[in-house]
Amino acid sequence: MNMSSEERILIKNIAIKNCGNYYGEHNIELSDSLDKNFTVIIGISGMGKSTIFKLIYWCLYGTHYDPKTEDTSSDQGIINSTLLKSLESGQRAVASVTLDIHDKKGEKYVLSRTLTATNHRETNAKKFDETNNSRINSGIQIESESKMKMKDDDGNIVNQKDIRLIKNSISKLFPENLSDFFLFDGEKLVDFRNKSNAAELIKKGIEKISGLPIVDELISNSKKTKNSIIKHIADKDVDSSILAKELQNFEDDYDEKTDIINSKKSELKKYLSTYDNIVKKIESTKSGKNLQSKISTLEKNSKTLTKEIQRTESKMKDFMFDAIPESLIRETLEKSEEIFAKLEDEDKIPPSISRGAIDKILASDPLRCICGRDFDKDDSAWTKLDEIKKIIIDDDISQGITQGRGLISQILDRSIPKKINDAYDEFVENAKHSRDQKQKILAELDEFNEEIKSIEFENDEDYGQQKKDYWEKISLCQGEITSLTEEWEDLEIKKSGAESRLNKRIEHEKVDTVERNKITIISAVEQFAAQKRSEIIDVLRDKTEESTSKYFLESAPQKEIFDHVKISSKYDITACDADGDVQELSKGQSHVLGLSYVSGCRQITNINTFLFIDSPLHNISGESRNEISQVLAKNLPGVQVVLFVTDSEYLQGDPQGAKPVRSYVNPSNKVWREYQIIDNNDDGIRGKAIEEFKRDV
Amino acid sequence: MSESPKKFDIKDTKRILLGWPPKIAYDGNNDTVVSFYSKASGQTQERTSFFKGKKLTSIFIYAMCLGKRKGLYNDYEKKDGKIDRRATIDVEYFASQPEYVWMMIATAFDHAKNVEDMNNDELLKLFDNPSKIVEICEKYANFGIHQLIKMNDDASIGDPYKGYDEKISDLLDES
Repeated sequence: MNMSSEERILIKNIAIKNCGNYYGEHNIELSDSLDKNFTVIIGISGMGKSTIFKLIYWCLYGTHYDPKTEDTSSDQGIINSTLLKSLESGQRAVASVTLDIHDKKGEKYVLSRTLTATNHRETNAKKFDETNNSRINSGIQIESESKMKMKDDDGNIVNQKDIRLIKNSISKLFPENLSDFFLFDGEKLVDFRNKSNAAELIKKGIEKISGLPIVDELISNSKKTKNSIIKHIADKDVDSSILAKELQNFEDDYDEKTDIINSKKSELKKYLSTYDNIVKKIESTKSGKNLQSKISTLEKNSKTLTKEIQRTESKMKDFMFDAIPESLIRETLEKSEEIFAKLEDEDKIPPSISRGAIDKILASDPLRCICGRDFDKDDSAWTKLDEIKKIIIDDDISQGITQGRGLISQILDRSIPKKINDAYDEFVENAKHSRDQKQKILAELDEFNEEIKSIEFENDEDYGQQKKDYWEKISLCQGEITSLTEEWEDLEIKKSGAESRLNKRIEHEKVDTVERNKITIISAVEQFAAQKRSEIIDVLRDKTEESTSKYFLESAPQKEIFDHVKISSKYDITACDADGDVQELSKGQSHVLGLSYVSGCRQITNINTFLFIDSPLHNISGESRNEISQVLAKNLPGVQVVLFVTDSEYLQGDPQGAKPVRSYVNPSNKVWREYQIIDNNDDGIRGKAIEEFKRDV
Repeated sequence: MSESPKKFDIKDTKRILLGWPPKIAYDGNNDTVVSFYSKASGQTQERTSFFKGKKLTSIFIYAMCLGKRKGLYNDYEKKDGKIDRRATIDVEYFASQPEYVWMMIATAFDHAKNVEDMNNDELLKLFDNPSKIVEICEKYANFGIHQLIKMNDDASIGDPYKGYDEKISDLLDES
């Protein structure tokens, strides 16, 4: 992540006027120092930290970080809602965000986005306004304007207003598809504590880095074109049209199932987040913290045991797979051994001896036969042995027979009933032991969870019961996702089967040669694109793995136990020890893994720009929080970092043992300037304001 | 041996397989068998199938071993006077499973000697006639496959490999 000042491109100043919950004009100057590279924006929850983060995104791209719809919108949009509501007929309000973008020579661009709202008529009706990303009074019209001050080819300063040209210039510096790697929502770090969420995030990240959306679009369009030609041909033949209908049904079911799974995944994410919050509330009391710590240990042990049980069951299945046929055929193999022995006696097949065995005898010193007799090189036995060796070397047949008899002998050896019995008993015993252990742990967990219910919390909430309820919801949701995913995979197989049947039928129709040739060409394009897609993904996954590994091994808490980070073909990310065994990660280690992933992706993409992190310590407490703070302080040298943090996490510790983040990113050491968000009441309009935070460490 | 060193065209498993028919078959006239082979493995396999991720060769060998153990074999069923030798099991997969090849050779040798009463010279000729080896093995598999289907049907959601578990216990009890 270390980069020279020449390569850096950064935002030097942010000017916000009447946007979000900010009323009036506000300036935030950011650090351009290589040493004191941190700027910190502090505010309590809901005060407007994320608003600034989202306004920067809007100013850079002219689109919304979290675009709303008619159903999901609120009154909060780009323009300060109080100002908007106070507009009388004929009045106008202007809101803007301006970013001063600097490179090594200083100011490079000044980018502004402005929204102007005009109230044309008094009405109580409301409408959704996409430009403002909110519900607004129906009488209000909002217009947008973009402006970028830049130098033309002759070095003259021009004010560019052409949206496409502005977009082009910004895309070169800050590609929107890679914005996650410089405008990073810290809440996503929580996803690294959940295997499937992390996998989803990494999959999307790799796809963004790769430019795959273009390839995907090519594949998707090829498929659509091909399907429409196929359907066109199918219409002319009854059997084909039945098959086309069948394919369409599978496709519809598949799409429907995909939507349901995605919605279930979002539901699960919400449940997990609420569950984490409940646990945090429980941990805020001493007895709760104590119980929760025991529960965490037991849960970890339970997970390990579950994996052990799965491993044992899988090994047992493999064992049965090999052992059953070998045991069944054992008697036959014994009889065949006898047959081969007789054939050998009659000199009809070669003796069951290998060249290797003879070589061993010939190389022994003193020369000693396997029967124990010593002999000299001029001994007749030596001569005979040498002759046998020559026959075996010269003879094609010997190796095959010897190998076959050797194999039979090996099968007979490993299928000795006592050996099978002992191995089988061991599997059964191991599985039983692990299951009994897990049962005990689950009983203990129930007891501790019941105990939580007896804790009295200040707000009289029954967090114990809530935790239980949410755990049930999470388990249910996970079960549903697993079962839906299985159905989805089955549909994928059925869909592909139906597609293949239809294609075969059309192939056999021998009509529409021209159309069928088109299908052949499109299929070739589709296949080529799919192959390239897979190759690109493989390369990028390896690169992401390598660079994430590098950062993680440098910065992870207790990094000495790790050897490498692994990203599987299904994008599961794990940290492994030197033996390749996957290590369970603490909350802090999971978050550091997430940060390492972001750092790794920045390296791959050669992004030499700022890193703004919103809520990097979201939902994390105690020692884990300290670990993240240390990583932030030590591992981002030379990068323009802007942290959006709550006042409590930045300035105070927590009962679980976390120290203030400020004590790690000490202002005299890393932080160039701190800002705080405060309540403001200018012109009678309540809003937020930003001022420099001045307090000694 | 030294008098007729080139009698057997065998060097290694791949070499053995070169002389074999390219595909091994099951009974295409029996719908239950056809359905089991197509569903137990391959793309349309059941999620909890014991043969998930395995090849049809493994199903065939399982069936053959079950038949051989019982000492019972079935000829191909006839429909309208015709048999349907559904030759779909690629022999090339045996190259990575030499044990399977020698289980088949052993099955054919034992059958040829003890059922068809072949003498040693006739037995040796089996190496020159791999179709005969395959034919014998297919017959045992034709019988064993019904046992395998039954074992597979014993599965339940909580205990997907029950039939196989019981089979191994039975085998150990018998020994």
